Amino acid sequence: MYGYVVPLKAELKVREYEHYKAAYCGLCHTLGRKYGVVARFLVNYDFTLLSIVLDGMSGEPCKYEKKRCIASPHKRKCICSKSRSQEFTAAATVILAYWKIKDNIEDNSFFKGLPYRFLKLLNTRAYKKAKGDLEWFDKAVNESISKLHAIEEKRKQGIDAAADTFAELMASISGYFEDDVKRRISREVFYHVGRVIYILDAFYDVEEDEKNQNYNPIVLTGLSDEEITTTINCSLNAAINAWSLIDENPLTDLVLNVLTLGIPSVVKEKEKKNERSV
Amino acid sequence: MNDPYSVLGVSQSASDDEIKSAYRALAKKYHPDNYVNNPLADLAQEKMKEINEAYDTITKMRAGGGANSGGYYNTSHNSSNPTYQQIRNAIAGNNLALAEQLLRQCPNHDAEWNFLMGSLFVRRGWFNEAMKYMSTACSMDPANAEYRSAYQQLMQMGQNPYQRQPAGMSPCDCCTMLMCADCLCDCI
Repeated sequence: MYGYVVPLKAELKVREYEHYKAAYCGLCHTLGRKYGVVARFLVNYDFTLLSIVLDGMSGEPCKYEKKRCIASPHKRKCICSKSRSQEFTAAATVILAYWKIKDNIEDNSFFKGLPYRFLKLLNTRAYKKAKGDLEWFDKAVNESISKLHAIEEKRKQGIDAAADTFAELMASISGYFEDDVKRRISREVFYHVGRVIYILDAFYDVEEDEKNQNYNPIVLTGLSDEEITTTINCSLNAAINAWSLIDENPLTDLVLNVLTLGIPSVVKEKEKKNERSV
Repeated sequence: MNDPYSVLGVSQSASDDEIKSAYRALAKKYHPDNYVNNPLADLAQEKMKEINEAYDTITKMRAGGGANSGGYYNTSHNSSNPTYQQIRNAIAGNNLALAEQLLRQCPNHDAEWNFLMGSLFVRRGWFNEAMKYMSTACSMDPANAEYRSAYQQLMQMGQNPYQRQPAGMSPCDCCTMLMCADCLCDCI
């Protein structure tokens, strides 16, 4: 259970909160059904939102069912049933996780990388299956990672260029839609949310990367907390502008909550932590 | 055309004031200022047109014709330098690669060059770079209204999106509701 793209629960409507939980459980179940028990541990908040955005944009209402699971063996929980968006999201989760593990192995020394090697071994089968299901996304991830490596090696200045690689990768998810207008709108939403995720990830890793002398664009450019917040807000506002263009549906406000309140509170949390440590 | 009332998200029995405020809220949401240098500007413009037409139709229907809307329109700026004009056109036409190539070839980096660089990066979503170029443009030519408004626009984008949260019940509404309910209790 991790991720930066989370709603601010206190401001959600009850039905939205229930849907969010159902989407999270649905993703976990889909991962288990399609890619095995190990893959279920890959479930995260970022991709839960992805499935919600996909559902919201495609206009197909989500169906619910009640199911038991390991985490809740007694009480049956309400989950989103099998759907195209859930399966797509599950495949994307597995693929991205596998590449991330691989990336970690390359970043670390042999011994430090051992746990990642183990993880990779565990996920190889799931990855192969997911790759078969979503070939183009696997290609997009591969390309964006090699682009990112080039930037890392050159130690090129500028957070925008580095964030652009991950943002473009997220933007490629817009290929999910066949409709041209939906594709354009979702491209904008995903690009900017991807940019936010990348920058937030770097923001949260500043101390660790500084210690281990790993690549971190924020460390390299020496941006202040305020500058980071501003640039994240710009992207959030751009994503909100794009999201406003889709037709009103039961999920619009849930996504708006994440963009206007959820993510800003994650940013704020880190800012406060930094202030305390100064 | 769609039902003008559903376009504005109001019922047919809504009062003129309700319609006006619904129209204003939507116009604010899709205002061209929110989509400056945005690849989705055309879609926003369409939405804007739709709500303007809907509002027009309703006011005309209700007033028996002759009403005019407070429709918004875009102002466009022009450049005296032909290369800059070409770059502006390229950015407006979403041909960012060409715009960047032309900009990189420019020998002198004056205020307008910085402004155009900024616009290019805004459109791309590279806000950190955009911020640098826009502020340079403004400090080089502080009197220029176009640069200043673009910079302000960008600064506004950098504000916390908190105020744009979904419209629901504000704490104030909640209190008013409770107070009204309280009054009613007294009646009964």
